[in-house]
Amino acid sequence: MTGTSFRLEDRPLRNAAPPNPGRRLDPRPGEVIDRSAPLSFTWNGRPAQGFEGDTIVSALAASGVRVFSRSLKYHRPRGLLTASFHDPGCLVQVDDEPNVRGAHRRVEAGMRVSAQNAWPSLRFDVKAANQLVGRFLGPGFYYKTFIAPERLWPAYESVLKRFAAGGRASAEPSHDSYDKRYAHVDVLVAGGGPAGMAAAVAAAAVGASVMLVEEEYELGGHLRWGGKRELDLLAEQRAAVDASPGIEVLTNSVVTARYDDNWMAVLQRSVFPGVRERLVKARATTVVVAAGLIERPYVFAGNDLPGVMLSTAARRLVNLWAVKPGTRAVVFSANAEGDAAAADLEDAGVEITRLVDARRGENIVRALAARHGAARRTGLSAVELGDGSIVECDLLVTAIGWTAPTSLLNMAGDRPVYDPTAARFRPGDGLPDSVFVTGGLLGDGTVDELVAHGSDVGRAAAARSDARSVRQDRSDRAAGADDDAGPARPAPLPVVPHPALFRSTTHGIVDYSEDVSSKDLIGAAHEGYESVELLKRFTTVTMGSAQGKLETVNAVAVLAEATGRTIGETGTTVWRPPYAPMSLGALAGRQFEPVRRSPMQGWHEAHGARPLVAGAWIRPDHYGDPEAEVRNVRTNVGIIDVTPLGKLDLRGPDVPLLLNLLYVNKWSKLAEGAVRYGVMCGDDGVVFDDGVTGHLGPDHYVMSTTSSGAEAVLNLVEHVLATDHPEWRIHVTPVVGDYASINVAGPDSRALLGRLAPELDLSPGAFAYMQVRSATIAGVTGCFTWRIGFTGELSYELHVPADRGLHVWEALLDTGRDLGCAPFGVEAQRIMRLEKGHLIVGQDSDGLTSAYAAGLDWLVKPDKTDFLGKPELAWVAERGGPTAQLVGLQPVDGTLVPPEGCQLVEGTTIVGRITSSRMSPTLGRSIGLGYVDRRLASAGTVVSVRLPDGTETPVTVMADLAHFDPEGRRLRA
Amino acid sequence: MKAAAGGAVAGALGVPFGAARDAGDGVLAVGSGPGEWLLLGPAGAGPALVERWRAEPDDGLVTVLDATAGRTVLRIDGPASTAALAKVCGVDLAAADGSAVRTSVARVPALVVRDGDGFLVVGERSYGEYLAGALLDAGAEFGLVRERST
Repeated sequence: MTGTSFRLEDRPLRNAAPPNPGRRLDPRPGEVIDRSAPLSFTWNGRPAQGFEGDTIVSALAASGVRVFSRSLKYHRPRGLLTASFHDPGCLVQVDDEPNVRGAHRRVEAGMRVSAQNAWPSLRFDVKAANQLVGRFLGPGFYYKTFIAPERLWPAYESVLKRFAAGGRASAEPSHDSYDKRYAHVDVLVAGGGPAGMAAAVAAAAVGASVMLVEEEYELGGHLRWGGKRELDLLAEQRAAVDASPGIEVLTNSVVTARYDDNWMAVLQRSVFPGVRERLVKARATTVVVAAGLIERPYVFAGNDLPGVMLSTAARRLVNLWAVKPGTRAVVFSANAEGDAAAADLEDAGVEITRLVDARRGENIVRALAARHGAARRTGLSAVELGDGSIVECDLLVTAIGWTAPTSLLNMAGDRPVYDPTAARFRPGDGLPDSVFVTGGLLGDGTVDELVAHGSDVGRAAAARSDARSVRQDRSDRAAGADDDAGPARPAPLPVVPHPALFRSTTHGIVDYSEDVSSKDLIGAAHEGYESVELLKRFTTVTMGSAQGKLETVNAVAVLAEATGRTIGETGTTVWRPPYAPMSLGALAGRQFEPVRRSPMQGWHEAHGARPLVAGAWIRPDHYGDPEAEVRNVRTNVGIIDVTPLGKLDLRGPDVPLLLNLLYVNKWSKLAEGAVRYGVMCGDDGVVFDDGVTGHLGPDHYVMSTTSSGAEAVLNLVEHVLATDHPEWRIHVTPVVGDYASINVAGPDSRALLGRLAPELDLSPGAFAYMQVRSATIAGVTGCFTWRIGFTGELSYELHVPADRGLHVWEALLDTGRDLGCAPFGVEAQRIMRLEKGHLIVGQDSDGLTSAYAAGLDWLVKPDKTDFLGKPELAWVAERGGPTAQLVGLQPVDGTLVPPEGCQLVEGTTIVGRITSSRMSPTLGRSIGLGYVDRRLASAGTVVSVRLPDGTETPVTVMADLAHFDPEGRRLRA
Repeated sequence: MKAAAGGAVAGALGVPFGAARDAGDGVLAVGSGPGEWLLLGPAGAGPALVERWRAEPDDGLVTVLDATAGRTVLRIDGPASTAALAKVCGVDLAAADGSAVRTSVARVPALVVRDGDGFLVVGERSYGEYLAGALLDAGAEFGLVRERST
């Protein structure tokens, strides 16, 4: 047997320079490697060499490596097939990154590359035993065998997992990230081959903005591995692209999807160091699809042996990376590209032992593996031809036709049709007028004809995009009048007849990624899976890493053969996004987590505040001891940053009408200088938000909302004003960010504020509870303050221009030092409001809590003409009120704090729940709020709380929601 | 500033929704919504601007608020500013000088104004640090650096 090339693989790779003498050819005119830049990496732990510009696989192939992975199911050795991104046998592990496309990813110095799917090693893969029992492992084997008995599945699973495909995902978080960007272009060109480049240049020449997307690292498509004419044209076209400032070129990128109105998803790979992939969300007025053609493998016995490859793979190896793919070759050719491959190989010093010409009816039957020596069963040694002769070789190149990657056309609504003359699918007539096709995807021609057609299409796409933008901008859009405007679509390219070759007389692999053979497909068809969609799901054909690009048409052809139908009658499966596999990281993209900070947040952090994340806001939860903060407010004075409170500036004569509609209580007679508490309900009568609104001046009000409800309330107000009552003269402006808000609370708050606002008469008669005043505070003009009391203490809420917030905050602390003034956080405030029995919307209410259930009967005014939620609340009242009631609760054992959310039970029946629960530093006992069935809601009733550990403890229903100062003497002081 | 879209104030400003223009004295007038404008003036110009526009002939209801303390204004400048901003903002940024859009920047509501080679990004004050950080992050690949405002 021809030995040397096989054994090379098993020898340690040598460290000598120049690297890889074995199979590296003398410089080629179109090569993409930089011979002055050698680099070292490792392959399965052993040193390996390549050049800048090499892919992982081209570098290894230059050292004579032939086997890059083991196949998914049967663990058959796999080598190069396409030498491109889609090569199914070249998925490798690179450092902590699994499933790297080794035939696409460029090699980098220091990369640690290893083979996947091989255990314990690539050479001695014990799972290759699967291929010995292959005939028992047909499609559906796992479904059928391991489905019963179900209780044994965990045992099956633990064994089967060892056989699972893919690399190893790292348990460590990756240091790399993923990115996203948006783009808006006139023309997006998918594919940077001769037709695509010509289209981009022609479109840019007439002023269009163009995005040109190429899957490989360089523009050029098949020109890159062509002869002199192709390389000259390539240089010419690249220069033209470079000279067009209107073209943005994205290489190593792929258009993965087309959605409505040309929303194009473009995946950019290896964007810059540290960013693996970037999703470009591009909106293109018109799209030119110039995706080219993908060479189709031939189905025959042994077609997946290392050493069997496509003609494009051979030409790419020779011409791009100067790698000699073998020493003795058989070339099976049905077209000019196959003949060119034979010429290239010969030029590279490969002996062409036989050119098998399909156009003369010649055929190949099977590829034979080496039976002896180190390369046993891992590589090609001979080919059996249709005439029965056996030809020894270590390379078999097939050129039997093409698959049209119509994916983007399908996504645009087209139904490509099978053309028996061209032996491939071609675009149908269902494309929208904003999507164009050119190049090999459309038809055949010389490179010059392809370029000429590309130019025509580029111009048409640019003109159409112009027509569309003009139409979109025009305000007097005449209905449909100019839908047909714009230039006509250039005539399609003709096709050259091509023999239809799919399968030889033997059976072979159809789907290399999923290890599905033609025999499997025929067997499945005989089992009744005659629909191509069912066949796909049953056998998993086309569902692997190549995603149908190599195997779809062969699968359809085999199914057609099995069912006696034509390919056209059989049809294809649906091409869905993404066109090429992409990482979940790219879909997730950049993570944006907006953070809002009050002007005093820096101060809080510098003073030991424990942060509380409340929606987008970062707030101080406490400064170390929330219970001490409570005691200080109850005895001295404390200040809290309440900037996140929603604030709406309302102006205009009709504001009272709006307030009357939004709130359940009455607002028509709120005097200037007064504030009022209000509750809003949805149309369903459920509590939606609460807060106070103050009447600051003539036709001027400020509404406060909960922090979390600020946006929803603004939306509601704008909705009411825009749709329900456009006649109301009201201007609403959100002013959350305009004011820093500080609540000054405690018995000494009056004394403290008096020092900073000497001009303000704070005497209880002049500035009573629930009043608002404009003020100058600590020298800051433009402030207002209202006297309210969420904590239950005498308190003033100051609203000062945000840029002066920190100044006022520090002035309060400085001036109030002798009064014991100290900051308090959200936790202390929550304790105090619970002592006072104030509900928090969203904590002590939920999506089903009506205003009546929340104990707001005193507020709801059903005699008002209208307000949001009135009909529903009237209905609740008519039915005798809500079934459950918000009540104050106190555990009989005052040292016990039942967790919030605990259920109140009566035997095995749930009769309520606890919504708020804390230890009260003021009362020295635990207190709570909760809902209880109405029949149990009277004061003094004792009900049981079921604790998380399953035990029960009694709690007493209180007469008031407030546990402390129910009369409100303190806040009215 | 809010006033009737077709009224006297609108006429005096001469800038519709979606556009911005130099209103003299270093003031940029931006049509930030239908019947809504944002005036960006030099530091300290707020009170005078409020006086000036409150004195306009009555259009019905006119509201003029000094929003100086409530906004964060970032300026991103340079040939790569469009590419950098396109990483955090989904609208077509290739618009003409003086166009203005209300949009989302890094998931935060913002007003984006094309101003010469660069953009003004106007957001709510509390988002200021976050927005600046998000823009610097987006612009890192283009060498975006932070400069103090003057």
